[in-house]
Amino acid sequence: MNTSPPATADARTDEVPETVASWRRSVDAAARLPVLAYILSGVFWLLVGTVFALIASFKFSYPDWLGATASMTFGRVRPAHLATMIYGWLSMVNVGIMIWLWGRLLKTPIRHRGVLLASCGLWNLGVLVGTVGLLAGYSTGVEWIEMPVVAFFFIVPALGLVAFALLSSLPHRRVRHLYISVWYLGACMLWTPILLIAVLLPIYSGVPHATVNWWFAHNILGLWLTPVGLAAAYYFIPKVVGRPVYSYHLSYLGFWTLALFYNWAGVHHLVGGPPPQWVVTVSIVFSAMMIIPVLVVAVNHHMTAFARIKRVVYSPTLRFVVFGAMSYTVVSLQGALMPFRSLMEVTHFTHHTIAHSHLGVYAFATMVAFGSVYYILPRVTGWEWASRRLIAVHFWTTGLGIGMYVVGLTAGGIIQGLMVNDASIPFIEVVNATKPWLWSRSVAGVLITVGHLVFAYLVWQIVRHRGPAPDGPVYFRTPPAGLFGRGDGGTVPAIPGDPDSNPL
Amino acid sequence: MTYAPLLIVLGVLVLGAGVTLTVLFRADRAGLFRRLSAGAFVLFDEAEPPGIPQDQLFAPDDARDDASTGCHPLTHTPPPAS
Repeated sequence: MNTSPPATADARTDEVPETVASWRRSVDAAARLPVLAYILSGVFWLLVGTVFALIASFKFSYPDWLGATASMTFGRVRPAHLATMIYGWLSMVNVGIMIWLWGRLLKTPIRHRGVLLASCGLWNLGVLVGTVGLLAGYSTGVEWIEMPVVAFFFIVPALGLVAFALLSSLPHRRVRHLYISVWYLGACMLWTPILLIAVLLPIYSGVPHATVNWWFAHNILGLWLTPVGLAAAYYFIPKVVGRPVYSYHLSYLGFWTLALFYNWAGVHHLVGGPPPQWVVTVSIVFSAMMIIPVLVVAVNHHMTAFARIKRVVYSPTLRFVVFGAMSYTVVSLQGALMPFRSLMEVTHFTHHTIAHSHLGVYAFATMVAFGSVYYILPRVTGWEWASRRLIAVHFWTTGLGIGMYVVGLTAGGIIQGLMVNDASIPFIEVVNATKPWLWSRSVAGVLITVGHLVFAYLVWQIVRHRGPAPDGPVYFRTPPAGLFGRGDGGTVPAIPGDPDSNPL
Repeated sequence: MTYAPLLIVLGVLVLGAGVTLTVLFRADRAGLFRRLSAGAFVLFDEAEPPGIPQDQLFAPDDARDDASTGCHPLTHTPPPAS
């Protein structure tokens, strides 16, 4: 819809004292250390979490493997995998992305860099304490927040420091308009501490505890991980394809409906359980209402990207982010339908739920994070990626891996649910029927592990400025001349036959 | 059975909805939603204009300068004098 720039897009850009090219460099330079600290920490926890994931996955096929070591039993390794991936990898890399986007979108250097670095240290300490605590057997037993409570004495203040540093940069912004990504990022910074504090209050027991547990578990995805992923997609898709969001009005509708609807969902995880039926029903209704923001975001992302979808052939950022955006549409529509009791009768308590959560956390949030890092790191390090082939290996191993994982466990989960519902089938037959699907999960896990190792190697190389001196951006293959602008403020040629490509 | 936890959760939900609606109202009053379509162009400027796809902005001069002067790759600070 938006194809031509307005006469005055930004009322305060005339206050920017520097040239357009130099403000971007100064903003990136200000964010460099905190962004690198958070992204490198995230990559470290990604590798740790991947090891735990592999161990947990192979235990489905070899239950006795490492069984003699208490810290390596499934009941400890699986929560350690979740904690390191959610609170280590994804949360920390998302904060790094958030810091960089915040400076870019407000066109001002981030304030309180020392506070941000201190928050990164606190956060790492929290995840370390929590992971060691889990392996030592000190689990809270509350899913998605199993780490010992003491771990959150570090993480919650760290998040508060991030919010303080970023929000205190807000009054110094050089643009009046708050881009839609700023709304998502600002809101999740405030929502998440409330979520964590609410679930950690020592006032629950029994059924209310389970109710709060699943309210939290659902909302940590929808109100912490999802907003950062959507904010990144709303920035990187328009930037890489070079056209504004398809419908900016719709993007605001999507944000405000997410803000109003999402936190009412979550208790649908307890369908058939002991909570009052009306609580579960309210949750189901609001889950279904989430179709509105999901469709809005889907229309916006896909219509923005598809006009120039061929660029995914070349751009690593666009390929990863579009993969994530498409996964968001799938997982969210699935999530809006799954809570219905008729479907829950089959899928509840099966591997289907694990497939769904990985579709959201990995295929959507993690793939968008990968794409964002491919865009951000060259800018904050002043270097380029070492190898286009390794980036391709990273994409295909993780993309195929998560695809195999989700398909395998979705199919296996449905078969499992249908068999469990038939009382004439012995339980051991159900277990045997799921074995091939659990093997597909492990094979997919190996593929994903290869991708993570390659990604970590690439990040290490770019941070250390290793490899030949780069002379331009790294693409999967060399794009035709004029397909991507140089971004150096020089004359940019129009793309022949592309009506949107007229430079300002 | 005590209903206090349930009341607290419902209180948080209702309070959250109230705060959300208040922020929405105040943002509208502050004019943040006026001429909304123009806001979509905040991402773009003269160096990275709409119509020109951008990817991996690279600053080769900066990078080469670092390589030739021995600056630290992360901080871009010069090496200590020996």
